[in-house]
Amino acid sequence: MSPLRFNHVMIRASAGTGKTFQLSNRYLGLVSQGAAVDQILASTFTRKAAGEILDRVLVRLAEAAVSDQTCRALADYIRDSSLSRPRALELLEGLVQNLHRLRISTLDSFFSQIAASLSLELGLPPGWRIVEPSADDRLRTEAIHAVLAESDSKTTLALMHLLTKGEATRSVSDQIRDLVNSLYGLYLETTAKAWQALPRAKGLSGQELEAALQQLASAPPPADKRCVTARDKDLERAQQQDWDSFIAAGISAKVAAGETSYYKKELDPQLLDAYRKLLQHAKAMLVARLADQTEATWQLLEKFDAHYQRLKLARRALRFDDVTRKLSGAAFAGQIEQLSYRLDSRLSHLLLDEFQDTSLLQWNVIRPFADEVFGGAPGRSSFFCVGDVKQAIYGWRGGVAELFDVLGDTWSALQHQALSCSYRSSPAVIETVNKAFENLAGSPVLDNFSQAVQAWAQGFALHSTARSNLPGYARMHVAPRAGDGEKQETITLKFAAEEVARLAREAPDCSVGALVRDNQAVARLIFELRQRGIQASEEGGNPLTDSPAVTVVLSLLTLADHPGDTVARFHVSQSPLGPIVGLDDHADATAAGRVSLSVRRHLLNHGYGPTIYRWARELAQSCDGRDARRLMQLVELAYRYEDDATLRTRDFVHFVESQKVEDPTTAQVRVMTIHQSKGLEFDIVVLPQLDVRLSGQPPAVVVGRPKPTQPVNFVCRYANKELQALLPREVQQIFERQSGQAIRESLCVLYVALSRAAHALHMIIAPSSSSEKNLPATFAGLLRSTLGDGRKAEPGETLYEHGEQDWHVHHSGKAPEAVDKELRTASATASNSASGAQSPPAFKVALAPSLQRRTRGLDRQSPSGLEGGETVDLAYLMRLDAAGALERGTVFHAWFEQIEWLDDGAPAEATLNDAALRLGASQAQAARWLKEFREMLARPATRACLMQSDYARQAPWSAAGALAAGWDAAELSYEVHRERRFAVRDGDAILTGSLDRLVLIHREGRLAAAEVLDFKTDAVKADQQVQLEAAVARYRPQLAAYRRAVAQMTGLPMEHVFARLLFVEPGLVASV
Amino acid sequence: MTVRRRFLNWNRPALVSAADYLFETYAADSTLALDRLIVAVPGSRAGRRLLEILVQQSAERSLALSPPRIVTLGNLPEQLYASAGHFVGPLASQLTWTEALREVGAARLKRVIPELPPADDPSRWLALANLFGQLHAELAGHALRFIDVAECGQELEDFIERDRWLAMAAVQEAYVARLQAAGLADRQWARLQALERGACGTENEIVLVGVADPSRILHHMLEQVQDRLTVLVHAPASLASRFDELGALQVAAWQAAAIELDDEQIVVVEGPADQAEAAVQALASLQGKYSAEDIVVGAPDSRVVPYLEQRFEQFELPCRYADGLPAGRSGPFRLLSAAADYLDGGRFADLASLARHPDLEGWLLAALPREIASGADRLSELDRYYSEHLQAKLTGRWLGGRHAVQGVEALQAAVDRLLGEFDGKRTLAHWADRVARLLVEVYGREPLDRRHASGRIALEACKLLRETLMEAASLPDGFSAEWRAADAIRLFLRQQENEAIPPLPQHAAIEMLGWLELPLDDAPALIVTGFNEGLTPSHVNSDLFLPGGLRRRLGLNDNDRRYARDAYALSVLAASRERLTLIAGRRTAESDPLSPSRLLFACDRPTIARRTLHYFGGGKTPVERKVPRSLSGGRAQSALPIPQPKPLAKPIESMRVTEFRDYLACRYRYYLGHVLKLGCLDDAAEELGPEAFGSLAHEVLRDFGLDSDASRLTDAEAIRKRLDAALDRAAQKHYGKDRLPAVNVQIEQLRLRLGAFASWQASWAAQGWRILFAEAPIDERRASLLVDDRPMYLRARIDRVDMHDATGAIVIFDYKTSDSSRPPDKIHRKKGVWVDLQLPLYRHLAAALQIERPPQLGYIALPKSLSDVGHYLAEWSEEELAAADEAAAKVIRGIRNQEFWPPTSPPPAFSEPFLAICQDSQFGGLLADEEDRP
Ligand code: SF4
Repeated sequence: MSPLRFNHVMIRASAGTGKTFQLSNRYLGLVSQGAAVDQILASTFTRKAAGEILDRVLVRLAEAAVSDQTCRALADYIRDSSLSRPRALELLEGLVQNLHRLRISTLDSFFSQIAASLSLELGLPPGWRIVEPSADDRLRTEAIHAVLAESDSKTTLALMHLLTKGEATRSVSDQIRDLVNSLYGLYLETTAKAWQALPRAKGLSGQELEAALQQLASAPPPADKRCVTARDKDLERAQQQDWDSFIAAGISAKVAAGETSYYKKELDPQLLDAYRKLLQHAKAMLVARLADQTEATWQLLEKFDAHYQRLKLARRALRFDDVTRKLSGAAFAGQIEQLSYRLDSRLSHLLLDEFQDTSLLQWNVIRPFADEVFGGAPGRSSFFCVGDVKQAIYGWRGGVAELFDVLGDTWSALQHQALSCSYRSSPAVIETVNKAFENLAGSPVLDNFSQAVQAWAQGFALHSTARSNLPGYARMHVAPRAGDGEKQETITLKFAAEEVARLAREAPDCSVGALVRDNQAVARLIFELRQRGIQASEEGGNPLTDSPAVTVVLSLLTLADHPGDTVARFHVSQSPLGPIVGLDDHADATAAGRVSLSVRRHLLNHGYGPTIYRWARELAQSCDGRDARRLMQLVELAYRYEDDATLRTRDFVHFVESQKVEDPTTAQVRVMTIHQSKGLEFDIVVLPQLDVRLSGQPPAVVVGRPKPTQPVNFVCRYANKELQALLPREVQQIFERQSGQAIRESLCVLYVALSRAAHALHMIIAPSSSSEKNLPATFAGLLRSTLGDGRKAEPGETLYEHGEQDWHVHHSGKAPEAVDKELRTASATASNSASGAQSPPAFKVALAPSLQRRTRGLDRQSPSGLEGGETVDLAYLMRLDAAGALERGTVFHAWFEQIEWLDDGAPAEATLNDAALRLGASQAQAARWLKEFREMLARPATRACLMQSDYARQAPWSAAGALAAGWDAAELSYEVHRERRFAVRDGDAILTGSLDRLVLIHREGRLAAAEVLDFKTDAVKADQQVQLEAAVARYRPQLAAYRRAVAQMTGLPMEHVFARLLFVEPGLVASV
Repeated sequence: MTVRRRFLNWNRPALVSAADYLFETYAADSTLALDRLIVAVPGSRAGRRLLEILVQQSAERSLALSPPRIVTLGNLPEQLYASAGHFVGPLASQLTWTEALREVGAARLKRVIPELPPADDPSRWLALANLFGQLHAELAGHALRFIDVAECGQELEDFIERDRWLAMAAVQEAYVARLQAAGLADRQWARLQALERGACGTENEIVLVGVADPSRILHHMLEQVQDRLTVLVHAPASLASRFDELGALQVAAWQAAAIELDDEQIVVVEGPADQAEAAVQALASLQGKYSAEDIVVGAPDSRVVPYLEQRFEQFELPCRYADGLPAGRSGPFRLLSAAADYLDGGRFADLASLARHPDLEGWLLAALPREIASGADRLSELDRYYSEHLQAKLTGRWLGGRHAVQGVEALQAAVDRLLGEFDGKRTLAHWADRVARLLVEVYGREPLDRRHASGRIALEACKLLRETLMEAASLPDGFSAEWRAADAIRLFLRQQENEAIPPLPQHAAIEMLGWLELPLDDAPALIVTGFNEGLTPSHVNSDLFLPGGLRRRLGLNDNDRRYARDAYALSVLAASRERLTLIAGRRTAESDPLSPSRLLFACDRPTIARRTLHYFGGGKTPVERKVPRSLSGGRAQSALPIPQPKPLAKPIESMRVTEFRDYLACRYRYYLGHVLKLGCLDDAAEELGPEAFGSLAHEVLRDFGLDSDASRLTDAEAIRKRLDAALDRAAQKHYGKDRLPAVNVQIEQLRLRLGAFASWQASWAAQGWRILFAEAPIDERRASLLVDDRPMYLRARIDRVDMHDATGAIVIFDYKTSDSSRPPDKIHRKKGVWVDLQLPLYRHLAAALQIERPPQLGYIALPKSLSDVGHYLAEWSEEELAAADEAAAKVIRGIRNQEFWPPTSPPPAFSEPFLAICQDSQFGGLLADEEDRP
């Protein structure tokens, strides 16, 4: 292979500039130059994106294979002038025939593959699997219970106290759960040391404190009543050790701020000194409390971790993060050899998408591969990554955009490229984006965060667009003001809903994306849109409980678990399901108990899917299209749930509540959070929730790292501003860095939001509050300063506008990507049909009528399986002592099989012995049983059956009077079959098996009768008539089947076929 | 003599042609005597079908059939050699592997398993044993021992795992040796030995039907019996070069083979639901030409099956999935597994699960004393007992009144009786016997009806279990280790839990089959779903033990071989079916991307390009949707109204003072809660909820208040002591010793709040206040509000009334134990409007307590923030209070007029219990701004 023409490259690609395109170029380039596909890893973050990359790669090649022009273009992009159509075809063939070796996947799935092939080395339990979040939640709950159960309540209490800052909160489990959910990930990434890193200050000793208090009490305050009162209050606070208040208010607060006077009265030096001492002590105490809280947090997490890990191992249940963490901890450097061996390929080319979202742990796993690539022979391996630090909105999930910068420092061979020409947006949108971000640094809103903002602004290069003819429009619009008792946020959303509805109507062929910050706003907006006749779909979807039809089913399931739940009873009994399941009065406890049992019985015997489907079908009669669709999705969930089903129906209810299911129709209008919109585009984007703070919520803890790409080495519970002021400078800096980080991430979110639009961008903000003095530090405030002129936002005003408002008139309707025909027809029908009963055209699948007599798939029946008839006595079936008996029985059957007739003597000892050993009997067993066998053969009834000379005399056919009357023994001859296999049609079944002994009786050379003799080794006693009768009764169906079989095989009429049981132990014969 | 190789026409189904061959060769006079024949087929289904054809055709030709011995490939080897001794069963094998693993010693084992499981964790050792057992079976199937891998691997360039395989070989040797010592034989090993001794032979004739891919060991064994062998190859003779002399595939030839398929036969869709829809569409396109039993649906991807079943049911298409129900989901397995959990720790939650097993419930009804079985249902009793007492376990220390406990006690007693013999550590044989008895006890009360679903499932599940139990009952002497019952039960269950319980045979059903069964099936119409890469063909690249490279070197079942096998299979299907449709999806239900099978690209290059564009291109022409997407809604608008209130039978004549706020918040929800008295009941609590926490606090404070000396104490410490003691008493009374651990912590939290209260109380008392009443109940007709000249009687339990010694002033207090503390006005009025009337209404109750002066009103709050513990007085003016009375009058009029409609929207806080009835969930998370109550 000649060296590849590809360098190591890192691309910073702004929104809409074609990341996937670049990545697929690279991929195809590698392939065209002969790189083996299993040596190329192309990874991304979502499964959807992974699917898209694969599609892109294959389709572009296929297009090149069929069109000269496309082929030339592709040749250019991948810088391979030799690419011709036939060559493209050849490459394509190579790819599709190696689909199983392609490594185009999410990082998670690549990591899982590694972990699966190294699971023992990683200490993963054999048979581990990735579980659903809801299953993981159950494990967490269990672990929390275990934490509580294990430690005595005093210890837990002490910890809880520290965590809740001395408050006596009622709920314990919830507290711990919140803590775990928000901090467990961090715990796993850190050592105990990081949680102990907050330096503690030295406080006063007991005596010193006493003295300082004395001093404060005795030093003369300024002669002003207010000063005296203030001093007294301060003293009281100090005596009560209420240090929070001590530093926050009164004279002490002033002194803390460096002042020496109060109400313009200079403070006595003695007094000042006392204050200073006490302040120092207060500070030490408060910092110590913070440190204790932080440590307590760690301790609790540590306890949790021990139980949680144990449970995970036992259940073999992992999450993707666990896998990443395990791998990250395993440090592969130096083990690439082994890894490649197990993976069955050595990675030579890395193509990493959305690089800004890579977490440190993930990077730890990839890094050794990257080292290999960079260390490899030039031209034999390559590194490629693409991403956009401006879209780094997954910091909360561990994404570390700074990795981008580190790469360049680590590997000098890495070339940098930047893409800022959009293939998505209209000039109006692009120019708005530019305007919003180019002057960030000048915005008064961001004054306090200048460092963070500067860093961000530096990464922003002015965008251009390749679609300069695309019509478009951008506007910032102020919503009406909320009235008394109304929430402004709600009013803004309502106004936005109006706007969305209007835009959707005006441009019916355009897709509209309404992007918000949180799920509550998604729900609200969907609701408001529905009120306005717009069926919007939700990215990611909502739990199915948004359909009243679904909740009826869930109530029934709740009732199954809790028949005493009268709410569920009422709900079911008043619904169309009530009469179906037999519950029409919610007060009827007996009926409820009955329904509960019957529901659970059904679920157990038929499964969740079919059971719920039955109800859904009935309920659908009362449903409109949407509710019926939701019901259908419930049924699908139910089918999917089967593997995890428990005895508790409430587990299924929780499962349904936790699953977000998208409404299957893709509507013109889609509502989602900005995070969910990443990677998507819309013709029109509406942003109605811009009045949220840029700094976000205060975090639970603040973390520090020596460098952004290094592990956390400092953790501290969040402290408020007053408390922060007491902390050492370097700790304060960590707090500041973290808030800077939050601001940067907010800017990313805003950037993503603005850059989703192809044509039009509508920003909707709340009016300024009457008390507004400065621009608020919100998204809206920022946009008002960069896009607008910073003036107050009055209701109804347009603060910014760019492009043509009626752009869509000029826009020749491009086919909307996602307009749901079904939905439209459905709503059309709905409005047309007055009665409301809409009958969809019946779709029927016709099958040819089945044959009366089936030919295929007949049931298989062995006569021995018919023991007992159609019902089975379980007690008999479950006799375990039968195990030994079975073996013994097998040997005796084999021995009887050796006998044609006994007249010439019994079979040779050696033959019998061999047969027994072949069947697995021990020598000792064989010897013992042989003795018994001899005894059996001596029993008169047995002999009579097996002696040809005696046979006719007592055989049932001869005793059967009419048949044998007039037969002469001399005319008869016998044909003996042993272990004769048979297979005959018996009704709708095939009867098959083998006959222990079949005697065919020929009379004058013609078959006249047949007899089946079945040997039984049951331990029946000769004198136990009842026992014998029971056994005979049990075997009767079996022997009847034998008779039917023989009749068919031989063509004899049934009356000429006979059967007898020979109980060989007691030597009893019974005709049946 | 060498093998007879016959090529069967592949335009007909293999089995039909094979039957023809048998008739041609063996029919004589009036008989078809095949009893000297062993016919081997790939799977048991094919075997059954062959027999069917033979029976059918001999009947048609009036031949008396002596059927051949029909065996599956898996069982064929045992027909070819004489085995000595007993084969080890799956259970004993697994246990032996465990022993073998431990025997080789940690040092060596660590080369394979760096982190050994703890010695006392049987389940993880068993999991490892399984891993070894599987590997052993796979390799032995290819006539390889672990040691062979260590040796052969060395020929690989990058083989770096010799040491690992040597260690594994040591385990394998130990395994074999242990078996031998126990007088047992391993089936795989026995084959290997027979092969190596050249000891394969048979007196019968052997006919192989459609056996294209025998395991290597079988191939070698068959070589030793060549002269008795006839191979029926399902392919035209023109393709002879693609098969070896035993009829096995020549891998390379099949890799290069083109597979003839029309584009119309291939459908590529999105998710599994779409696949099901495409299948229905494909059925429809058969246009009634085929009956159900003439159609087979292939399901290589079992995850698609539920979607198929559901869709088929929707269109009333009878279908039958032979792999039906995994035994693990059947009643008996679930019962035992729940029993094991309960035995493990006796936890309440596990008892609650077990009690919900419908089969157990059936048994209970019979086992419980009549008067209890016929009373209220056990589940509600359990729920109630749990909610009231929050027990982690039921240990016989019953709390609360006799009557309430009876049902629960009887239930637990019955269950404990059933599981009574399951303690201690005993041998597996012992536990097997107990388990069998338990099953008989629960399921054997009446004969099981094998024609009915429930009977059949229980029966088949018991039969599966019986296999394991039988093995356990007769384990040889070497296996007498003692187990805890729960571990033993789980071990038993694991043996068979993945076995399928087939559904009842059904006339005229569309069969759903796995991929492997399809080539030998003979239904004329076939629809294959899940035709995706990774399934058809499957592949292994990376692996824990046998990655692709090593597999290739060892000649194991590598990717090429898998491809060849499926390429052949698909060629057979394409040639032998009248109608064939292949359906592939592009993603799983979990949205993992899928690719269509590589086999679809075994065609000329232009077709490859076309198909690529079609299957991977986003611009697919949307297929017109003929199949209705889902359940069709019956109406334009759902007719699932919120139930309207019904007229009351009796007018409401009295109200609790706390009810007013609920009516003010939402009259409909008031109706549900207070008129219909609907309420949730469950056993989900993990700790004390706000109400229980409040009640506990109230009880302690009441005890304190009722003690007349106590209420005069001014020493905080003394007060605290009394409260502490009262708290301990109350906690013990309600929650006993077996309470949930979280409750312990909560009680301590409450103790802290009470401590802070003690300080407040001390200084309050020091100011001259004493407690006049504590928890004064006012019910029956002692107090009322006159509205429109009619009294509405008020009911309440006043937490506390204090009087000042000196002034005689009166304060009526309500204790507040919610986490946050807010003054009365904040709680009673929102923006000047009365939303709660509790305290103002207390004024009207004062008379009933013989209080004459107008009382002050207030809260004593015990919030989480201890510095906020104390009293909060309301300072309402007379006019304001009058407005409150007016508000109350309005409520009363509303209630008298039965104004219970409509529900408030959006829903007020704390209306979750009625969420479903009121259809609130379309608001999603809109139930915001919750405040802490009560
Ligand atoms: S098997 Fe099904 S149909 Fe039969 S009784 Fe049980 S739940 Fe009912």
